[in-house]
Amino acid sequence: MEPARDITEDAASADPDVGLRAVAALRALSERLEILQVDKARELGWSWQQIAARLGVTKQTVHRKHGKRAGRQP
Amino acid sequence: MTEHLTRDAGAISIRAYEHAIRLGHAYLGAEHYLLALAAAGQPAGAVLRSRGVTPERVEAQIVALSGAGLFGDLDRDALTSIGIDVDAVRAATEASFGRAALARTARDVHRGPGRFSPRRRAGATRDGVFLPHGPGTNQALLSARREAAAGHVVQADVEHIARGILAVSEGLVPAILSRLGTSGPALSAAIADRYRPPR
Repeated sequence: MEPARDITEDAASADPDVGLRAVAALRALSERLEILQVDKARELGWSWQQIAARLGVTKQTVHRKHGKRAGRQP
Repeated sequence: MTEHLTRDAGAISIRAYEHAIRLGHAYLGAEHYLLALAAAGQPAGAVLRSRGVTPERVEAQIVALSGAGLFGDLDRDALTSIGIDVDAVRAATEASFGRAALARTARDVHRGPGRFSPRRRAGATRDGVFLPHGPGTNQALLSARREAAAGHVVQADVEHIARGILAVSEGLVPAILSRLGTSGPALSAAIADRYRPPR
């Protein structure tokens, strides 16, 4: 195990290397949470329209992205 | 599969499955068996631990090498720097969705081209969640049964599973052992020695 990093130092350093990696990781994290949430919503019978409204995107966008996976019967 | 295993060996198998689910992996790999064996109360486990193959060290290597799991490959340090604790996110999502859902999503996210051929259907199911065997698992279990047969017993015991896992050439086990400063053959010989009946 690595020793615990000094979090405040990291954040305050404003080093683009750390900052950009954080943005990329955040994007990946958000993608995965979206998959979990969309799959759950579909399981519960939500329509693509209802899901799209919460995500702030169009129905077409969410269906194109998740339709193939979350459309299948579990 | 379990009818080929003694009760103790079956328990190792279940622990291995649980480790795979806990780590968010979408497959049951030889490395998950190694992790279960490293924690085993039987002499095989004691031999592994005495040579530095402890559960903590094996798990750290699995996490470092596999990069799988739903959140396991994310840049933890970078996320920590903006105040996001990946472990907290994992705990919260596990509480809401269950480990099985996380493993299923991990399988969707990490579905690599050709890593697991769809023809390889061997795997394990618990609570309705099927995990296909990962690289090395079939090889290890087959080899465990051969070890058992060579010892003229019908069911593979913990010792045979351990020697099967240590003999594996595919998957993460060889790399994990090498990073822990040891090797499959060395550990396997030590285990065989430990189980050899006194003359």
